[in-house]
Amino acid sequence: MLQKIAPILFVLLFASCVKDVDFDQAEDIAISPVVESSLIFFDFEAAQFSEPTGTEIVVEGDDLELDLFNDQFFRDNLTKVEFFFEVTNSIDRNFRADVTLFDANDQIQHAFAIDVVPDGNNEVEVTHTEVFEDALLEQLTNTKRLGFVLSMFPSPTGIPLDENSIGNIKMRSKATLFFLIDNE
Amino acid sequence: MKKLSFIFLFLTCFAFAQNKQLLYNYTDIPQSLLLNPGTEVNYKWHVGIPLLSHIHASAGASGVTAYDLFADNGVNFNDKLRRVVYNLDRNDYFTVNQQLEILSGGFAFGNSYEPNKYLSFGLYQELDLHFYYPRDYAILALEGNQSNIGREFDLGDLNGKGELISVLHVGLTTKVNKKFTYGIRGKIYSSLLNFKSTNNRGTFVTTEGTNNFYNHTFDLDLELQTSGYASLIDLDNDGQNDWNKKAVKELRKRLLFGANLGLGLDFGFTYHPKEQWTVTGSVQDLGFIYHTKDVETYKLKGEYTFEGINPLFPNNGSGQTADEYWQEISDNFEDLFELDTISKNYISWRSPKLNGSVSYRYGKKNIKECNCTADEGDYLNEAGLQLFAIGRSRRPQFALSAFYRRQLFNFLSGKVTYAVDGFSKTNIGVGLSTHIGNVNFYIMADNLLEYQNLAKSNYASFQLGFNYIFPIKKK
Repeated sequence: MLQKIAPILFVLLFASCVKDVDFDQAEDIAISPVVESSLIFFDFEAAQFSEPTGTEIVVEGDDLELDLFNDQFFRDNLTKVEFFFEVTNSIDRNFRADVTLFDANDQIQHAFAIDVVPDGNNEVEVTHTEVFEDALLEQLTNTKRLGFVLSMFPSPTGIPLDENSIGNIKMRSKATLFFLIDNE
Repeated sequence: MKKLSFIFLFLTCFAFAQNKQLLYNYTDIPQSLLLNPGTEVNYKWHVGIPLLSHIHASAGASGVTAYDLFADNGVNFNDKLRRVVYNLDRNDYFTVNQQLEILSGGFAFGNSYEPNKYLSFGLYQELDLHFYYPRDYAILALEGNQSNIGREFDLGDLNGKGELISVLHVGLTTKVNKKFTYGIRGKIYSSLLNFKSTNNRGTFVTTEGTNNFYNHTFDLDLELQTSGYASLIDLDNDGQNDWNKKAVKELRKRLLFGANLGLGLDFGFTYHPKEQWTVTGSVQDLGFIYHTKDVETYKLKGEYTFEGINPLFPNNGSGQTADEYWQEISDNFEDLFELDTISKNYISWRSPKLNGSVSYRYGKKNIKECNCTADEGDYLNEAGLQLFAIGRSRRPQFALSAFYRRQLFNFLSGKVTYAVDGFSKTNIGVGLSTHIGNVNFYIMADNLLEYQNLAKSNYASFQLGFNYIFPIKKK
């Protein structure tokens, strides 16, 4: 008899178990963390651009492997990315920073430039925000490599730069990643 | 996600920590000997009905209920999730415990007129999981680091362990005299599966940088120890069903003297300072398992501060080429996040439990036939207090219960408990034990105040079992 009662008790006990709850809500989960990371930085003195003629364009560049955004997790969950650059210049020259994003086949996905106009040897601060959303975000997630080129243009006065020249060019930058992690 | 919610449902329905306040010192039920081998025995022998003698499944969450998260009240799920993430403390915990007695029995021996010793033995399977709430990880996942510049995320918040074991045990209960009974039980643990990640340290912090906007500092010292796991993962896999079958088969093989063994000890006593007063105490599962076979430890260790990438320009003094420089950064990250897999023996301590009680018995039964009271000791009521404690990796957890036990009819007794613990301050439980013929059946449920809606409770419990008990004949 007891063996017969036990299953009934079981059912009674657990039938009354939970009320007013909807576990399907878990499907609606959506969290949106915002992650910031330092990106590129440098600080150069005028002397490092030593250029005896005063008329040449000095071009310095570097390639950085950037396959982070390629990752499936980033592809699925990123909604927006912002690159923020801050350039401080006190060298009496025009500068331009070119940022180019390449995909796995070395095709250019996206490119942008930051122009810096000097104010003699006074410190000039230029900021630039590059926002990647929608189609642009797609281009970022296709990126495998980032090309960074800093160009210094000839002096309007023709004065060459040597080890005694004054001024610095500094860059700080960061990336802000906006995620939407959900059940889709 | 569905799966997850079912697990949560399971957790909250069968909720219970390891405190078995209803069964403790319930002397009619032989399984009370497993909580205290020094429990008084009032029967000649017993056999547990195989696989049905003790069924116990339980889980609990301190500080959160299923209702908090899944209430069908129109509030956005993510708002509720947010509230839970912030409200829980790093010492809040989730626990699952399940036991199934496979075989059990016992018999009295010693003095032939009045046996004073009782040997009890058996084999049971136990699953025990315990996790602390990884608060800083949850907040980092929810918010990211942008709004937490300068905040140190404590990676030591990750703290959990789990074990699936079988326990073969033999215990001896000795009645010294009417006043004092003590007992001791030896246990051999066979580990089916074990994992343990309880000694994690480290931080992650983003601070204002000097050369760049931020410095990201990683200081990792994380470790997960496993045994019995690697070989399961390596099983030939012809589809999920096939793997499941093979895994169950493999686990069953480990049930008795499987790969990794351990030893444990229970001991306890019952003492009557006066006839109607009872004091009991016991220690359970003072023991360990030594893991030597099929062991795999995963380790993350290292320190690194990242402040960004300094693209190479002429004369920067380092003499590195761009490639070398870039390689160094990615090597640093790889070293930091590379999971080292090593085979290392380790010891896992069982979570020891402590029980104690003080109680008072009163009200003798009137026997109509002779118009006299029943035998000495046959009191109808017992009321008292019980204390339970369990050792966990950060700090012990406690529960205090008040109880009342009454012999309702010759064949039926009941026990009511009111418990206060880390889960709840208002936990009322009821247990019933019947003896019909020589068959003993017991059923116990916990947290009855929340019973109309268990979703709102932090835990509740349920256990039942069948035994065949041969009583001592009354003279």
